[in-house]
Amino acid sequence: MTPMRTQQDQHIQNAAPVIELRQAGKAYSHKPVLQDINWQVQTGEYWGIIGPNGSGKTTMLQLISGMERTDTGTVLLEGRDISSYSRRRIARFTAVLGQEGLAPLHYPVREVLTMGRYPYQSWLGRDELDTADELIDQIMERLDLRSLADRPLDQLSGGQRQRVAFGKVMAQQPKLLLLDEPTTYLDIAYQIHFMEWLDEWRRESGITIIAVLHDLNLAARYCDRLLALNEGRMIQTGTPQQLMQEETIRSLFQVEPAIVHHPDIHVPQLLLKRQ
Amino acid sequence: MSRKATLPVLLFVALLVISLVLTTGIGSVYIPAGQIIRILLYHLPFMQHWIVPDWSGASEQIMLRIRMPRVVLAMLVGAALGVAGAAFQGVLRNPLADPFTLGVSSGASVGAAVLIFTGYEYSLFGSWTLPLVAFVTGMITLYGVLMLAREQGRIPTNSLILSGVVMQSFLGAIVSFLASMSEGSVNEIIFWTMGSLSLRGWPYVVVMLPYVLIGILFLWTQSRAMNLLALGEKEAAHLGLPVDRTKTLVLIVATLITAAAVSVSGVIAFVGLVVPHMIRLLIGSDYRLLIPLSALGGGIFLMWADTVARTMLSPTEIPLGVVTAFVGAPFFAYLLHRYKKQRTD
Repeated sequence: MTPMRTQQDQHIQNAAPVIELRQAGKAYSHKPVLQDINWQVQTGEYWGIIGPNGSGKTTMLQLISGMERTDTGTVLLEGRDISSYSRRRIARFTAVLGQEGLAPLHYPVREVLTMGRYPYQSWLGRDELDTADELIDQIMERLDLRSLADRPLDQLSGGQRQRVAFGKVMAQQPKLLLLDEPTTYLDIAYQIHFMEWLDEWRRESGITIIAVLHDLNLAARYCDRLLALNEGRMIQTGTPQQLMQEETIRSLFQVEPAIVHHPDIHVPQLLLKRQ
Repeated sequence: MSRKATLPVLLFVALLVISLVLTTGIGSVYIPAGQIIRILLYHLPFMQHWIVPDWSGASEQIMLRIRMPRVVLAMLVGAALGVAGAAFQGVLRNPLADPFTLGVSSGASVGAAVLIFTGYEYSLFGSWTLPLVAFVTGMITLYGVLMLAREQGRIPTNSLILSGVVMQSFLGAIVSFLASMSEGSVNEIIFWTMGSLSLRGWPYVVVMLPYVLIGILFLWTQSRAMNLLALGEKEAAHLGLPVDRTKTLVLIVATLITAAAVSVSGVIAFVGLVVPHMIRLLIGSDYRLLIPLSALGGGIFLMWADTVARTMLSPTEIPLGVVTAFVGAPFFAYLLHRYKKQRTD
């Protein structure tokens, strides 16, 4: 969909991390939610952020998407302070997909997908990409949305709306994708579909992904690297094999885990014991 | 604009022109449509050679001096209020918002009334003074209403309308009081609080035109932004919209065109509510189409409403706001019912 970046591009982008947090901290009404986070994300990596409720995962995404400012430290987007970017400039780089999907509005699917092109449109609505219409067609083809193109969102199911939300994010052609528990309201079939589409898109476009995931098994299957947060502090980073240890999970979530290996794809998977 | 959009726009432009001709003809002296068109064409450059004037000088005078300015003014006021309503609904994401329910109209009328009753209406910037002062008081009112309605950073639909109503009755009382203090009659009070276009000539059109035209064009450029806002403020920000700046700008410009309308016509209720919602029922909520059609539809609606106001009990006039309230208040009730049902579903 997005053309593969050339080697040279890759090289230039590798010069600065896509996202870097330096001693980043955030507090709400004097209560620290995040403290002293030092973290680098390189081009093309697929990170999962895990941790119990209230550990600061969503706040972390808000700092990275530029929606919130840090109280201490800095967030760098491609080596530059994120607060120096305009909203439009950030939107051309970073797309965000949340758990709620889209509100049931009376807008047709095709129009909503086109809204993903907003950061590339002039004030008259002209897209700087001449082939924007074809791009939207390809996305609809790919996500099985063609038959729904003219249907308004308020006539779609929650799962279909989440697919439209995903399509809109694809239309945005970001280099960095932030996911905030995107599969929460999807049934297991849709969850797998969703994660597979994402994986395919990633292989084609080389997009960098940072996902907040509640489901540790999904995180272990799809992410290259995991970051564990607890009470606003970074506990550990590493591969799923390194992080999905019984000891780590026990101390992070206060549960009794049993780690098994997935029979097909050799990643750690988590079972819970009764307490 | 897509091809799909061209048809409704052309249709509404045609309706607007037809309404303009027909409502100009209706009145104590009836002027046939054919004659109106010929008089108009006759006054275009180079057309005198082709058209032989076969009409009486009196009907030409009535049409050009009395009817036309009033009908055109109704069109401009309607267009301004219709677009302002759509814009308020868009950025406040509140289906019941409009210049009247938000108290902005009443706020603007206080500024205008104070100037007129104290005789300062041509100070500072000549004839532009009135709309500008009305804009300032309208803006202050809007700010007050938004602050009053805010609960923990959010503005719930119902509390916004409540705040608007409170502000409205207070400001309406101020205007009525001012009118009573001056030697003006009861008519004057009714003019300001219920709206009227009687005895308004071409100079008023000239004062209003630039504000309304530029304001509507600006709001039209913001229509894609309002579409994004419908997705939610966070979603819009993620798509690259500077949300706070856009909202502030749209609120300011919507208040400005409301003020321009109010300073020539007084407070005309519900136009900004009825018109955009009718359009929504016809073509959906795409603001790229909703804004221009609300302008055209508002113009059409108010031209006919004013025709009813001046002819139904002729020679007595009904205040224009009474006519619009007869249509608007039941419609408001219907909307309230509909959104209540939607929330509980």
